[in-house]
Amino acid sequence: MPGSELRLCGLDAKEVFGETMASVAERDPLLSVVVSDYGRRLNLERMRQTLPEAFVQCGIAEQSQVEVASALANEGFHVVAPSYATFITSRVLDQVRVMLGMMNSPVTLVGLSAGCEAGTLGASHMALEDIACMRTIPGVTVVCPADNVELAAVLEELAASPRPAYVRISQYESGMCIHAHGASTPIGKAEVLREAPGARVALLATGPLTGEALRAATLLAHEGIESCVLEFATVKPLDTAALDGLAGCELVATVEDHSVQGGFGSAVAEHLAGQAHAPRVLRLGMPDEYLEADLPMRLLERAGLTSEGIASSIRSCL
Amino acid sequence: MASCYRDIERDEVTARDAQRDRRLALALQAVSIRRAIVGFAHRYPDTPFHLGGSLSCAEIMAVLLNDVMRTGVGDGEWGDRDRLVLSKGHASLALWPALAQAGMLDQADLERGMFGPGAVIGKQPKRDVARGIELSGGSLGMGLGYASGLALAARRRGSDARVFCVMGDGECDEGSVWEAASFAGHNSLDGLTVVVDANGLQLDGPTSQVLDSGPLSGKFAAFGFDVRLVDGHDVMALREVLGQRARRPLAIIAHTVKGKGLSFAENDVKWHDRCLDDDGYRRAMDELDAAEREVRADAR
Repeated sequence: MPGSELRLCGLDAKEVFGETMASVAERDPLLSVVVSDYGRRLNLERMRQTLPEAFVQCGIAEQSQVEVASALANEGFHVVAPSYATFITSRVLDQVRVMLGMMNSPVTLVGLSAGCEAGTLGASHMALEDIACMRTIPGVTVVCPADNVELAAVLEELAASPRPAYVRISQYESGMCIHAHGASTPIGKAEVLREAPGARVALLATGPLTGEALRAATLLAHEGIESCVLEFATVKPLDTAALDGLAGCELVATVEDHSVQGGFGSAVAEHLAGQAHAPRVLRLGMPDEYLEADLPMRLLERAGLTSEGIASSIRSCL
Repeated sequence: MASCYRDIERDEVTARDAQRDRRLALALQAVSIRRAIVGFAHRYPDTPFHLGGSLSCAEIMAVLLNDVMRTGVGDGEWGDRDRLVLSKGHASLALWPALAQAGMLDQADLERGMFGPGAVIGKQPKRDVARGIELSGGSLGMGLGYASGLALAARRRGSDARVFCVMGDGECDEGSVWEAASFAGHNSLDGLTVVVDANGLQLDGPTSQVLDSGPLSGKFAAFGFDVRLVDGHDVMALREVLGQRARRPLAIIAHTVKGKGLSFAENDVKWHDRCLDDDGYRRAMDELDAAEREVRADAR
């Protein structure tokens, strides 16, 4: 496994965010990172030394953050605006509609501690509806990187080619590395992680549970159930060509650390519902309810989102 | 010495004439904006328009676009143009004629109408920078934050471009206004000027009864703005306060009359948004004709 990928995957995703901003700042004088009192934990010191004027602090004021970020973006700056995933999406959804949607402002909003990463803080800090909110805004690209290698690549791609976008960051296990040999799949394309010609099952995953999906496929293979695994880092625009290629499967199972309502699984189901001979869709994700505070792994376990849980749900569908 | 005094006297007379001419021109432009506002409503008699809050800011729009702002049309670098952010998008009926006066909209844009895919103008502005429309309006309380971002961008580029944000006093109910005010004050955004069209009324009634925002001047001052109070229908007073650039963001509280210019609509909450029938249109145009005669008589 190449060293740089391994090193990245051993870091906290927030550190990787800061590292990536620093490397962008070295070659892009137009970079701007607009924060709302969540800058200190983002490892932004090197970026600030390289390009001090790039750092914009809004205080705990996400509405102003999205407005300021959008204005800077429309004036030609390359703008990234991170905050807790739930606050940079549902809390400011009208700003997102107007600024990123109607005005098409090329801002990258970054949702931190998405899914149930902030589970110990309780329902207020868990972002289980953010994909649903963001993917209904016309023109907004929604990306959920699976690991830190992909996160860095996605942030670099958006800085180089800005558009209205939401990047969702959640991380549950240090060292999880799907892209040990680099992340080269461009935004908008699904990536085949496990090929299984003629497989009955297709496992489609977005975000950090992609690792669990891969392990579930291995468990199922031991029982003689072959499955292919595709990673859809980009939830919108959805790679529908990749979905259409699954017509021969019996079951498509989607995996995400987001509510089963309105997220990645819903997007997949919406597309396949329009196909004449589409496979059955099993949506695996977080339940449609506000959960009591708990450790992230316990929340995921209870939702059946471990490799064993995923394998078991699929088994009972066949 | 005698001839020197005569020169000073002549200069004073010339300056006075220039002031009078400027006042006349701007006041006529404001009347013309009101005629256009009434004309839009007459063109779509079955559609209620936000007449009250458009009529209240006619002078503000006339002075900004025809006098104070460096619009980038015909002069100077486009990137260094002053930007106008109409945060109270509901007053777009006043924006369209003012942009046309400034040469940023043409007759064809106006004639295309307000609805459907081909429309350039509408009941709410749609971002169209080439035509001077910086913000898509409709959702209140977003303009000041956006304008702050524009002012910050100008500072970062080393440009002396100014950013003008026109808001309503009712709009100041929105919490996002104060997030933005806090940001602008903290960063001493000296390129930013917010003009509050303080007409004292909002949809449900007088602002003092709906949600008393107290003196807005004190609020903006507390957030780090320099504050000026002005009669929002006095074009020369507006010209003077809008022409200043302070070392801090500037808040101009322009006291205005909602529905200004139409006696039957002034200070009447029913005219916040309403359809204008033929009879109302004729009365309105008669009153605006009278207003023009008065403006011209004052100038003599």
